[in-house]
Amino acid sequence: MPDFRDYVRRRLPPLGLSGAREGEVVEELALELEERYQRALRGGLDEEQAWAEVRGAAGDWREVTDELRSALAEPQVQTPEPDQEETMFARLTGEWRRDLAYAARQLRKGPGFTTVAVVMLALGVGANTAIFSLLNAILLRSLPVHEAAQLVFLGEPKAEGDTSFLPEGPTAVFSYPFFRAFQRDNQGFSDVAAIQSFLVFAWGRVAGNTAMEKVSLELVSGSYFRTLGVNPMAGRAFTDADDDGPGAHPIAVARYGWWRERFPTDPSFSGKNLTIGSTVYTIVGIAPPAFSGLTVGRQPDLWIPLSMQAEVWPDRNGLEKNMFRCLHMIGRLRPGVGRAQAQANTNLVFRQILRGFVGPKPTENQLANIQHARIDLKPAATGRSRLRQEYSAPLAVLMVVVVLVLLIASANVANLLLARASARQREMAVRMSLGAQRGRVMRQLLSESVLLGTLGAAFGVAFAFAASRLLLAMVSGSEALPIQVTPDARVLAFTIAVTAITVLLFGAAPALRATGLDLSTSLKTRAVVSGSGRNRLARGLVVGQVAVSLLLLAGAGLFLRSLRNLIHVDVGFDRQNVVRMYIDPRAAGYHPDARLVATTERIVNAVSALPGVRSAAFAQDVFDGGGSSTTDVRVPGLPDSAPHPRTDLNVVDPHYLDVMKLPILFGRGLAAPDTATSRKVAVINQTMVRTHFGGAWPIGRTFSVGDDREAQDVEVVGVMQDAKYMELEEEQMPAAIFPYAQHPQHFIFSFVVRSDGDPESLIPAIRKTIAGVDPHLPVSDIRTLAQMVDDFTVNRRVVAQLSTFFGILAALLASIGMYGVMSYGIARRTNEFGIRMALGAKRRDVVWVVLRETLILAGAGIAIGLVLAYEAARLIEKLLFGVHAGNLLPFALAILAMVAVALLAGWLPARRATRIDPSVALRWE
Amino acid sequence: MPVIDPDANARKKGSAELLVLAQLEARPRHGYEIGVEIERRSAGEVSFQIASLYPVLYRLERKGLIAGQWVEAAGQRRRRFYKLTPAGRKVLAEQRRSWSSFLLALERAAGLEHA
Repeated sequence: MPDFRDYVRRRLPPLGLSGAREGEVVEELALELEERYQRALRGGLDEEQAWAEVRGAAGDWREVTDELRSALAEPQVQTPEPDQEETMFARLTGEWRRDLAYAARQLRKGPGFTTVAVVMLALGVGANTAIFSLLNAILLRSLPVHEAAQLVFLGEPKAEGDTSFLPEGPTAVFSYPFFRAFQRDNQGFSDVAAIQSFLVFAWGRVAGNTAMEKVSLELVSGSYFRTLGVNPMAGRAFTDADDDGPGAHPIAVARYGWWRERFPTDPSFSGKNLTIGSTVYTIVGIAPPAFSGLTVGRQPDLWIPLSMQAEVWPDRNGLEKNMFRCLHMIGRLRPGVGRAQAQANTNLVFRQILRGFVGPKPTENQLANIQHARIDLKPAATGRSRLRQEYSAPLAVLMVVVVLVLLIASANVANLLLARASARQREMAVRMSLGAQRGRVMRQLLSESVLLGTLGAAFGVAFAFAASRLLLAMVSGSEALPIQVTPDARVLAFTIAVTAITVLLFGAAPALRATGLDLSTSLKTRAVVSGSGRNRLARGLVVGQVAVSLLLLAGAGLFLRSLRNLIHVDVGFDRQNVVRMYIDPRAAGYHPDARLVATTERIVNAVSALPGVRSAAFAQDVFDGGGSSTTDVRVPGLPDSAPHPRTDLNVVDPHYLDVMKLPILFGRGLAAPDTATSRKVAVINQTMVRTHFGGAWPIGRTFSVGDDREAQDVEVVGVMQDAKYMELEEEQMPAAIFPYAQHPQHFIFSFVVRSDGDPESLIPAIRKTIAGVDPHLPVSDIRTLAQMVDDFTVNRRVVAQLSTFFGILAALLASIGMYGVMSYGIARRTNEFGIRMALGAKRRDVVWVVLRETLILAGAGIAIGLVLAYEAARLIEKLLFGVHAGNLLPFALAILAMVAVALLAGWLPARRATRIDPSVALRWE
Repeated sequence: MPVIDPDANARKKGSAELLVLAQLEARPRHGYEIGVEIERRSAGEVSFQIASLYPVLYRLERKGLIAGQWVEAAGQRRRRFYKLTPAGRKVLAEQRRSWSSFLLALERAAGLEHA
């Protein structure tokens, strides 16, 4: 039998197809000839005759070639119908693959467009991912414990302590006796644990080292690890047995990270003790790596049983005191018990225990208090955090800000796509007239958007990775916070959702517009027809961008002003040229007694004598976010009825007023003659004169604080000027300071030194001098007072800086958007400008035509933006410090900025318009 | 005498396309089978040369009216089968209508008789 394939191949010249397709055509034709040949044989012809028949059927090969070429040159139309063998899924994935490949080709064809679009999307998605990572880490992430959702706090857990009978509102801190009673009596929880509300810092020796190191300790009940369902990685956790007998259980469980740092290779516990003061703690277990306590942004190095409170915290032993309340309580709901049910039982038991505390003869007042007393159960799944209180509102604001920035970026990409879509209108018209369905073409355009979005998101996540670290550093202030901000599953899910929404936002409108066109007109005229429609959409987007940018800029202005106010707030003391350090006498074996008082006096005298030092003093608290306060201050002769405001109490040595430059207004300051044996005295502030002495002359009068034996009938000897005592944004508090010599029962840690110049240069000399008095005294946490004040502005600084950054970014993106729309409009109107200029229009006139249009767009955006910004400002007013929502300056500046942006964005294309050569322009199209 | 001469007529492509589409209405067929079927149905009056049939098939395929696919049956060599797409089915119906009215018009105007 003849080789038909060879026969066809020799006669058919190349058709200009791919090798494979060409082979298929040859195969098909050869098959046809072969069938005809065999039919001829079957019909009774001999081979010769059959061969002649085949040659006849083939006809003129030149004609065959021409016909084939012409047929195969027809434009290819995608068939929407699946092949029989293909499943629905395979068909869809196949089409998607083709769409994506096609989209990738289109994007490669316009590298400029693609780069700009991807960069804008990456910025938008990245900023969102970064802020969300931080928000997730601080606000949303669950504790790595067993069934976190079953855990509740008894009350809102803030770091505090209280010795008064009951607070006005709900109770959130509890005494140790209360915890034990509640643990025994409650019916709502399968387990209850108590945790001291704040960490205790101590100096100790690890594993027999001679050098002391600072450790942070968390005092917890024996039920702590069991309640949380946290099993130690090695060794054992605490048990209820570790609760009984004060001082009887010197053991510790180490945090994994702390243990690893010290003993990277050696997993055995033997000999790995911690010595604090005279107590040796045996490390009995290591917590699992993921677990670092209940506090987000603060981690203890070791956990120690509450029964060791007196050893860890010698001057404040409250284990046996019913009203020494400094514990948080956490409970695990019994299976089947709801929060409401547990809440009811908790309050019932709470009041019963309180009745027991007040004894058989309670006063009317106490009974009334017990009647009002209540505990609100709070979900504990995400742990406790000071950061959360501080940052939940700022992070929410920043989240809104970055979403708005993403919207602006999306609008820009949408505008770019619209411009491209109208340039490709003819392509779409051709494809649709050839029978491509609208949905198919739309899907192809959308796949371009999906590809852009995915690229943007990929770069965005990389960008967010770096940015979230930067954010954490900004939030941390001077000390790095132990928070994981690396994106987890929740963050990635968020990013994917954000990207999907963004793609829909910027991709859908252009796709709908590009395919919703009138085929015949598009094919006849080049795509000028629906230009006006495109322009309306594009202009609308620009107006929106200007409005949102104005909103962001005005907001940033408000935050900046608020930050400025806070930085310049009058703290009442002189923060310049003062350095503060902690000197921990417990670590050197001191007890709170006269020996310690004498040592502090020697240190003060020696450091004061250093050249460059003006004065030095010890104090219990120096403006570091905490301090002692009480509402229980009584003044003889004045009615006790009205609840007194919280009064700040501090124990200081006589030089403290000099170091802080707190002016004495009346009477005298504290002085050396105020000793343990002399009359108990105090200096109070202006506010206390008003709140506690009714504004009358206070000098020579007395007051008493609670049941503190050392603070009864204290004589007021002077009045000092009001100041801030614990933090920058506190309400003005009444305050009293007491001489240390009369209150030696307290440990006193903070040491402050005022110098003539930069205090930091004196630090080595100060350290040496302290070591000269007692080489065992550890010195730590050295900060200047100015830095400490500054640390209180960190959250506002973060918001101000970030909102300013994003405001400027938004304005920049809006200006790019405006510039794009204007230059596109001018390119479209080359003809018109040519005619105008040919008819004698001056350059100035042409510039004005363009600028006027830009300004109209900007004006519309500004008007909308002002309304939005005013409403937004009222929403965030609570976050502002000393700034009203109606403050005009930020608004005025934002308007100016947007007008400037508009002028710039309009001027560049306008200048181009004036360079149009009328003769060229009229030939255009 | 062929009713329609596919090579010498202004409507040649149209008529050839109609013929091919019509053969695929019932089921997919390969190229040779289409030619044979046309010959059979026209009782030998119409027959395609290679130069006519395959260009028509390829043109229809590129227009998306038919879809070709290689099918391999056990023990046989592979063949390319063509079948109607929904678009092709629609075009077939339209062409049938327009050819009917055209032939009707011819009949009336020229007194032709068509089979």
